[in-house]
Amino acid sequence: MLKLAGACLVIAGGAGIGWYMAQLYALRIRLLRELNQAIQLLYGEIEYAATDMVEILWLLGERGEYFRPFFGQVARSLEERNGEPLYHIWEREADRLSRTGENRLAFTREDIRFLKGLGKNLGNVDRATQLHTLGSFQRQLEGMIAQAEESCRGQAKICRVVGTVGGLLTAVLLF
Amino acid sequence: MKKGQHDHRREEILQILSVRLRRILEYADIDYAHLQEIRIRIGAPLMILYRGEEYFVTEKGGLASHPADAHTVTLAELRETMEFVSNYSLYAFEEELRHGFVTIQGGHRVGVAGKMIVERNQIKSIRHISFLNIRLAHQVLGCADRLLPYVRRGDSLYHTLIISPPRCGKTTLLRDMIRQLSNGGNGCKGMTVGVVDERSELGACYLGRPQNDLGCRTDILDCCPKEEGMMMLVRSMAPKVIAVDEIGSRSDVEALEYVMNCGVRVVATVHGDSMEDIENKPVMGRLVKERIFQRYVLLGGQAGKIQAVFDERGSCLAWEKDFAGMGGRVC
Repeated sequence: MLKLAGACLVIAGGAGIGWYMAQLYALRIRLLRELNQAIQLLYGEIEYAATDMVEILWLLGERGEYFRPFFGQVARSLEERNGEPLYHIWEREADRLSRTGENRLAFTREDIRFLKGLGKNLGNVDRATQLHTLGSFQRQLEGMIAQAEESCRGQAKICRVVGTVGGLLTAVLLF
Repeated sequence: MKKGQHDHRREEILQILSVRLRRILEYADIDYAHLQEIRIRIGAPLMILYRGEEYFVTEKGGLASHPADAHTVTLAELRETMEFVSNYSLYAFEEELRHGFVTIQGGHRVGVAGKMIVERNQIKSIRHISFLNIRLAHQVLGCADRLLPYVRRGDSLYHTLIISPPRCGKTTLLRDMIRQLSNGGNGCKGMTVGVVDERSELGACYLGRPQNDLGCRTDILDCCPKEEGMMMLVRSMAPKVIAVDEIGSRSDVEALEYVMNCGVRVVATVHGDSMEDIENKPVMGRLVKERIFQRYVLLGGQAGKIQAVFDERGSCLAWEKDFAGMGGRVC
């Protein structure tokens, strides 16, 4: 009886790991979609209202879910005006965001590179160039999201199957 | 200037400079109340205009008279400075940059120069900004004290024209006149004053809020062309007085006549170094001949010095000696 219970636990554990890994793929998609919405808001605020960058970042901080601490902290640091350029602050906070909780596992290197690249191109050019740059970042991000969705469908299924099968196999080997 | 104000002014200036330039000027032993300009040019020595004299600033913040001793400004320093000047939002200052300057918190003005992008004979934008001139706001409260009795008529005002060569304090004087006319005092009621601040020099508005004190009954149209602005103020804000800086074009004068005909008193400034100089200008000369203005205030000689006040017939009401004290200077 005990053996059976133990085997069940091992199988459930394996399947759980599989499900968790699959969830990370889904989380990455949610992160990228939120970033895409943030770029859309940036684009709109700059195009129609030429809103101050710090103000936009506060707005993004208020509206965001996963990126809330990131944008909030960048805005806070910019307001301190301690002489640090936007890009340095952005890069530091991007690193911090990518090391926080599940983001650490969900973000790929490409995602972090993309996020840092975005910060490097903010606020230091005229409006037309700024909008053009944001437009091209948005197109690139949409490509990344499509790719992530594509791979999520296959990979998530694999993760779940491998997790469950792995659990079964371990149970068979152990008991 | 009180210590608190001094520190605040210092902070306002330092926070828009790149970290390196900030350090250099932090070391400098200068009184920010007398700092007039900071000149930043890529590959050129860092310079300041201080107490009317030009100095080169060394790496350790010392003031030198030889450029070889000065700190040489780098491209990165200028870019960083521009990032702070624009509050990380260069795109938001496109219109201002097309006019060649940005007004920052405190009313200080950052002049920019570089490669101009021109499209159909119109300046579209500016790229490769390589030269900055940070001009510190300069408000002299009370500098119009001695002039006001000559231009006030009871609770109203004579149509007044301030004539002055560049850099002789006409804007500073006009600014204080606006403040005092608006606030009232010395037995006179305050008046609603409308200001058309085309170059953002009078109110020095930052995010729509004036950084200079223009009085409690003053409405400002910031960065607005004079001609349209004067008409708009008459229609929308019902001012008793309209103040404009640096009139001169035919359309400015037409707008002036329009507002005068509406019963609004006008105080304006114009470039010139004498009454004859103004009379000889085709557009302004007609106003003098037709006695449109009732008071002429002539500045010159040195910054802030009133040379004379004339009435509409050209009779002198006051001479330099009437404004004695501070060497005859009012601002």
